[in-house]
This record gives sequence, structure tokens and C-alpha cells, in this order.
Amino acid sequence: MQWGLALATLVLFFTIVGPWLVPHDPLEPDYRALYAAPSFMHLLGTDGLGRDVFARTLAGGRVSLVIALTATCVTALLGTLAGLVAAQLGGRWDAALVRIFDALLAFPGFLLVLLVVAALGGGTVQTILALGVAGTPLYFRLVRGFARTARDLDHVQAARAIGAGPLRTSLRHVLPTFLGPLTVQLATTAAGFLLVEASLSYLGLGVSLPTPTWGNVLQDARALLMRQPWAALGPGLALGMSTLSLQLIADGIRDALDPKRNGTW
Amino acid sequence: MNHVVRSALAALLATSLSIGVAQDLVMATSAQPDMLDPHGTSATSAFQSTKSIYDTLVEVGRDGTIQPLLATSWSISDDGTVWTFDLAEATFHDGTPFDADDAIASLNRLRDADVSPKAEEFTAIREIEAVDARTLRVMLDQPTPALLASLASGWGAMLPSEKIAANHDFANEPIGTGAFMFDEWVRDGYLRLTANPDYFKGAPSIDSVTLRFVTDSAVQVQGLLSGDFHVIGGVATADLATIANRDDVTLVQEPSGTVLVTSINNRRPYLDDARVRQALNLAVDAQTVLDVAYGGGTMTGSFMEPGNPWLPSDVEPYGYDPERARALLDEAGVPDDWTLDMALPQPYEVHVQAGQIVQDMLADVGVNVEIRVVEWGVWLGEVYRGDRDFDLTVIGHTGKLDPTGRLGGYGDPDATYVGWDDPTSVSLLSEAAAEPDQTARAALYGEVLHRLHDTTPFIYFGASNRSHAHRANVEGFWMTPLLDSYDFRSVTVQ
Amino acid sequence: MVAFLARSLASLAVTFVMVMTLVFVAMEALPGDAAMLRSGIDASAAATDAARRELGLDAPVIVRYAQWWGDLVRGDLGDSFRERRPVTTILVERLPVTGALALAAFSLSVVLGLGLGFLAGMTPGSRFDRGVLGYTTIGLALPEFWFGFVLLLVFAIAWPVLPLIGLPDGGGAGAWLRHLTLPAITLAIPRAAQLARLTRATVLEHRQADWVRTVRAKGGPASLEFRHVAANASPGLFAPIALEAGGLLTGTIVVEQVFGLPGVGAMLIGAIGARDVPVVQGATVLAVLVYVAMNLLADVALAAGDPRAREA
Repeated sequence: MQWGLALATLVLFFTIVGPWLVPHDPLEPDYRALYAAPSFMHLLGTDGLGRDVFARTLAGGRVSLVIALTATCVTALLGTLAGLVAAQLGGRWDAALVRIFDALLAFPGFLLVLLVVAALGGGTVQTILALGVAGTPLYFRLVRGFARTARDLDHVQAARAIGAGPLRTSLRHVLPTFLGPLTVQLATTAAGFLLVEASLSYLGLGVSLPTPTWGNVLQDARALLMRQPWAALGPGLALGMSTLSLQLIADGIRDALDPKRNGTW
Repeated sequence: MNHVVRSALAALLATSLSIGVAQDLVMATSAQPDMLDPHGTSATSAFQSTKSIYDTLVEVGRDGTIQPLLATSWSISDDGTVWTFDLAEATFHDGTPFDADDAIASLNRLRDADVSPKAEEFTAIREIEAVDARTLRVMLDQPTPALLASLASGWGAMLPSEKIAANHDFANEPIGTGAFMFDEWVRDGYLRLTANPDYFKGAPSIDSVTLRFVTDSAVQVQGLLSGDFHVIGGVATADLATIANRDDVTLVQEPSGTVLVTSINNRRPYLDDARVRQALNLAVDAQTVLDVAYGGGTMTGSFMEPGNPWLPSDVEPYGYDPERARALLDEAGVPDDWTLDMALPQPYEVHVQAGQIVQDMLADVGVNVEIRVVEWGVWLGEVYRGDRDFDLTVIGHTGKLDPTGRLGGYGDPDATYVGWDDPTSVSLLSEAAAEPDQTARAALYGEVLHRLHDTTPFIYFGASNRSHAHRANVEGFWMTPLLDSYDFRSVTVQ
Repeated sequence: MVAFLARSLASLAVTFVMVMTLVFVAMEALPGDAAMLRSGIDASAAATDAARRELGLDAPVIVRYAQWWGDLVRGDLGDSFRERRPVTTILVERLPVTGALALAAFSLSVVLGLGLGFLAGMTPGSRFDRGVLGYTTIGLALPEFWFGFVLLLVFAIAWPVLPLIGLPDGGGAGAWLRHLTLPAITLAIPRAAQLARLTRATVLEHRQADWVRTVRAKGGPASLEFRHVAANASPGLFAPIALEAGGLLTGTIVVEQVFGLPGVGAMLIGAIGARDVPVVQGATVLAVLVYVAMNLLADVALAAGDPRAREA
């Protein structure tokens, strides 16, 4: 957990402050320094347009993290809302929602993202939307399950008995009972979205150039793999550190919630 | 006696030469055909392969001139409307002989717009007849000098008439008279062709050709260096130095017929002003774009590749002059926060690179460019055709054997995607298309090319080099000038 | 159990209809024009119109939707716009590549995942356990294509023992095996890591069960404890393994791209770029069928192991 938070702080520090520390514009080409090897000037060398790979990695982090984190919020919000509504309303509404989300869940997630991005076109907002839609069914199922269990808890029943409305009951009394496990899932989802964004960009379907994202910088590095393997190293490392920190945080929260699990990973 | 010794020697030679395995040439190329029916496609990647399977009546020689192939000779009537072809004796891969009926069936299939995207090139044909089995006569409505170029292009292929009548699936099971016969096509994998021992111009010396489809240029280079591939069809800018420095591989760089441009949508505000378009040309350092994005090339000042005989020698590149560009932009009253929308075709990494360089250079003269990378289908449907929703786009216009192919429609604001409006050019072009006299034709096209320079609808870069590379022990491989087709007929592997 | 199966199948059928409708809508929403792609850059308007008629794109959406279902029910996935051949033929041609890759990756991840997870779970805190922790952490932290890069770099370039590209042009089973090694490992890395984590957790849980402690306390041989834990932990792992298998097909999309393998995934990416709607639909039908079948298998496995699961 401490490691996770430390790593996350490091990643955030570099992606937020980093671009100001590097003396290169991630978008500024330098036609006299194409395909440069790593040096003091260019820590990770330059790409085919003479742009600093290190600067692009840092700038790419901003975009990638914003996409992954925003999409996580979108998906959690939609899924939680639908899940709470289903659990609260029950009956036919519940059945219909379950049906819809089960259908979406039966769709291989990556394929769903691929099709949505293809239909909407590549771009930051489109990618966020695609990821958000693809993640929703999981949250729906999770939250609905939790909420149904919580319905029967004493204090929730008590709240309803003294006349709390369904909205108030859901948000004030039901939601808090499973905020912990939900947070664990959020961290895991964000890590997963980072990886999916990278894969999308690798397939040429993600955020379009020249905007750097970790996926885009890795995709550029692919063409240079044999000449400049280091170009794939930087963004790979940054991406790996981010997903790792999120996973460690998720594990940490899980351990804190469930003392029995201490020492397992 | 003499005869016996000779055949014994020949047999000995033959065995000593064929020691080991059959000779298979492996070429890696990034672009895969969409189909192997040359009448149904317009993709360069398809014609690159079909060139080996099918023959055309005439073909483009290594020097770029049109040479006989299935037509051993031809004559044109004085008024330019009756063309007579003498046909060679050749055999299709299915064993049927090639004759005038096959040529008629093939040309009729080409004229059918339901089959061929190139049907329009053959609309001048009024009637086709077989004088005898070896003589073909084509009657035209008006002189059409460009017809010969169409017949020499990949789509002018000759197919067996019996199979055409039977609605044969040429797209997947091609049958032609070519030097190589279709064996197997694994999509996204490879296309294998075997040598045609009965090829009418002599059997090729290699036994088979395997075209492997490798989209990744780095993998192509690696495979060439390791000896897995004999030839690779394209060399990325970043790999040029690596390959040039090796003794066991040979890098071939030739001028290409592709004109690389930033196309300007002439319908848009300010972009409809010729001064602004000139300013954009002056603001872009075309040589740097060619060097960085396209691995080197030669600049041009009009819509024709440098060195093309139709391009008047006094048409010069614009040159790089950001000062004058700024002055012209001021003169035209371009606002300070002027922002242009640049649509770039996603599958073409080089154009996407070039677009980013142009964006950077235009920023220096105060013009903002926002880049939007779009998929090829979107580019075709919304930029090149359809709504023409773009301010700028970067693309290459592939080489054409005849200037009508390149210039057709320019001047008519609705006919081309750039929307260049120049009625004078329209009338010059229609005059040129029916002008049988070559000198008079050249003068007409020269005038159009001058106009395309002066009130330019493009930012001209120039023509890149066409690079391919092969193992040092491979000889005789060449690519057709302007059409970029692969020719394996005289390839030998030592 | 029969009622449970019937209910599962019915719900899967509804799922399938919804999913396929979604695919149809997504493909309708795709920008770009298949007819223009079909007829090419230089084609005249007449030629493009002819292509549109030929592809059947001139009919209204609702008619095409109905037609599509009619064909689908008869097992006809239509003809590819690009290749002008039945999509079923193309799928049959490409399935062996993807199937072989998926099978190899699946076997590898099951053997590795179960093996590593089990051994780590039996020796918590050991150096081996920590090694497995390291592997699963890294294996899940990076996109699989990045591992593909590294493997290519090491085993095909720096130390060229395995081929760079995926498909042999002949050469029999041996050649296939050599060509599929790196892609299968790439695909298996994150999946084996996932499974190893799960296995280890399950094993740990069962080791803490009373009766296992009893065996241990009574000084029973290690092999006995081993057997007990293995026998009891296995059923719970069956469902995740089945789900993993269902998801493999989508994993092949990226990996086929890295290694240039002409499988179903490469076909899907190419078809999306070319607006080849029938092929995208065909690939999706296949992926969803496999996925749904494996989900069903997982449900059945769960239900067989735990009667309570049949209620939900």
C-alpha cells in the first residue's frame, strides 16, 4: 500500500510537473536531430520527427491518465447509478436492467471498446466514452449485488422505516456499506483502462496523433524497435509503474478492509 | 554425335544448377491486393501482383516508354479513331490460346461500369472487332491518345473469354497469360505464384515467387538482413542508412511518379485567395518535408513530378521564404487567430509525419493548424469525395502514364476535391485530350501546369524517391516506372 | 439442473440478439463509405454507385437489418465487401491460425498459472513465492503487446532463434510450432499471471481450512496435504479458467497484429479499416459465440459445484 501510494505520487509528480522540467516541447520537431540516441540532452533519444521521447512520455502520461481516470469515473458513475436504481426499484425494472447489462457483459470487453471507438472515431472523448460504456456492466452487477445485500441490513431497514425516501436511503445508507470494495474495483479498473488505451492506440484506433499518449508513444516506438529499443522502454516503464501503483493501492485497501487477508497478495 | 554431347552437357548443367531446392524468390511488401481481378480494382497494391499473372496488350518498359507485349505491333489511322493491334501467340494458364476474341471480351468487361471502376477511361470506344484471330480493331468516337496508357496500365489485362462468359471468380482464382501462375493466397499472409513454363516470352528462371505481406517496415528490413526475404518493397526513412551500409544487400532508390502535396480546399474562406495559397507554399520548406518524412526526394513547382516530359522546364519550385509568406498573408487580410483543419489519412504514416511538419512550419508564419487523423474510409468518403470536409490534407497522387490521368477535372471546382476554379484550364484540358499531335498536346498541358503553379491549389512538396532493397545475389528485379508494379520475369538468384 | 440450463440458454439467446443488434447499429454508425473504398480512389461517381448496388448498400437500413437476420439464421454471414467471398469461407480459412494460437496460449497459461500459483500457495513467503509475486505483478502491469516487443527483440533479433513473423509458408507442424511460440507466450503472460494469483489465493484459503490443518498437525506426509488441497481448490478454479478461454479470442486481436499472424483478429482490424461490415459482423458473431459458450460452461461449473448458484 505504502509502495503503491509512493509510486502513484511519483507518477503523478512526473506527469503533472514533469513537462515543465524538461526543456523540450513534446510537439516541437527538430529536423537536425532525427532518431537521436539517448544523451544528456535527450534522455530517451528522439523520434522520427526529432521530438524528445522523454518529453513525449511525460506529456503522454497526462493524456493517458486523464483518459483512464475519467473513464473510470464515468463507468463507475453509470454502473453505480444503474445498480442502485435496479436494487431500489426491484421487480420488472430490475429484471430489464439485469437483462440489458448481462447482454453487454456477454460481449468481450475489448471487442466492445474496439467497435465503439471505430464507430465514434478516434479521440480523447471518444476513447473515454468507449471505455466508460464497456466497464459499466461490471459495476452494475457489483453494485446491484452489494445493494441488495445492504437492503436487508438493520440500519438500512430502520432508515426506511422512519420514512427516508429511496434516493436518501440509497445514497446515505446503502452506498456507504460497500464504498470500500468499490474503491478497490475503481483502482483495478483504472489500471485496466490504462492498458486498454495503450492497446487501442497500438492498433491505431485510439487518440490520434500528434497528441502523445503512452499508447501513441509506444506505437511510434514499435517502428523503431530494432534500431532504438530504448524508445519503447520509457513509456513502457511509466505505464507499468502507473498500473502497478494502482494495483498495489487496490491490494492495500483490500487488506485494510479484510484483516484476515493480511499477508496475501 | 555433336547433338548427343550437347544434350548430355545440358542435362549435366541442368542438374548442377538445380542442386538443392527449387528456387523460390521471397519478397516482403506492406500492401496486399484487395483482389486479383485486375478489371475490378483500382488499387496499386493489386496491380503490383497481377502484373506477374496477367499480361496487357502493351506495357511500360524500364525507360518509361510504352512497349509491345500481347500486341506485337499496332497502328493508328490518320484521323486517330481506328486502332489496329497485331496479337502475339500466347496461352492462358488454363491451356486455352489467347486470340482476338479474348481481347474483345476483356475490353468489353473493362467498359462495363458495373464491373470496372476504370470504365470511364474506355468510353471513347465505339466498337471493337476481330479482323481475324490475330488482329484486333478498335474504333473510337474521337481521337483518344491517352487510350494507349490505359491499355498499358494494370487494369488493361487480358483475360480468357470463355472464363469471362462463365463468370469465373478472377478475384480469387486469377487466370492470365502471365509469366507466373496463381498458386495460393493466404490473406494477410502471403501470395504464392509459380513460374509459367509456357510463358510466351520465355519461362522465368526462378521457380516461384512468394509475396509476403509484412506491414511493419522494421520487420521487412530485419528479414532482409537475416536473409529470410530476397527483396523488400519499401524502405522506411529511418532504415535507409542501415541498408546502404551493408555489402550483402543493395538499396535501389529511383525517382517515383508520385506527387506529394498538401491539398488546399480552395472553397474555404481565405483559402479561396490565390495569394494565401502562394503564401502557404512559401511558408513550407518542401525539401525538409521530403527529407524528414519521405526519406528524400526532388521538389516540384506544379502538379507533375520533376523529370516528367510533360512538365515545362521553366516551372520552378516555390522555394522557402517565410518573410514573403507573412507579407502575402497580411496583404490578403488573414486574421491573427486563423486556424485551419488538417485531415490526415491514418494508414499512411509518412503523410501523417509530413502533416505534423507542415503544422510546425505554418505556425512560424502565424497560421494555426489543428490535426485530425482519419481512417482511410473516412478520408475517401469525407475529404476526397463526399462533403470535402477539410481545409488542408496531405496525400500523394500516384504516377500516371498519361497527363489526363493526373490532370483530368482540374479547373472545374466541383470535379476535384481541392475545388480549384479555373475555367481556362478546363477548356485547355478537353482540347488536349482529343489532340493527336504530341507537340500540340504538350503545349496545352504545359499551359495548364503553369496555371497550376501560379494560382496553385496545393502546397507542392515534390516527388519522393521510390526505395526498395534486395539481397546482393538477386538480379533482374525491377519496378515499373510510374506504375510501381513488380516485375519478376528476369529475376535470377545466384 | 435441466431447468437451470434451459434458463441459461434462453437468457443467452436474448443476449445474443441484443449483442448482434448492437453490432449492426455500430457498423451503421461507422463513418466512411464501403462503396467508395470498394471502387477506389479514382473511381467515377457511376462506378461508386455500381459498387453500392453490388454491395446491397442502397437498400434502406431496416430492410438490410431484416435480411441480415434472415441470412444469419440460415448460417449465412454474407459476402465480404472487400474479398467478394462468403464470410464463412474466410472464417474457416483463418480460424486454424487463431485457434492454434489461442489453444497454445490457453494450455500455456493454464499449466503455468496453475503450477506457479499452486506451488507459491503451498510455500507462502518463500523465495519462490516472492518470485511468482514479482512475475504476476509485472505480467499484469504492462500491455501484452509490449511483452511481444520484448520477446521479438530478444528471441528474434538479438538472439535470433525464433522467427520474426507469425506464419510459416508450409513446413508442417514443426514450423507452425516455432512460429507460434512467441505469440503464444506473449498472449499467455498476463493470463498465466492472473490465474497464478487466483490459484495461490485459493490454495492459501484451503490450506487454512480445519481439516488440512488437521492433516498437517497429525504430521501427515506433505504429499497428502498436497493432494487434499489440490483436490479441493480445483473446482473453484474451473469457472475462471473457462472465462479466460472465452476472452482469449479478443487477446489474439492485438497479438496477431504484433506478429503479423493472418488470423481472425487481423481480419477484424483490417475489416474495420475497410468498412467491410459483413466481416466485422462475422468476426463478432464468432467471438460472442465462443465467449458466451465459455460463460455458459463457467456457469454450469459453478452450478455443479454449488447448488446455491443455480438459484440466481
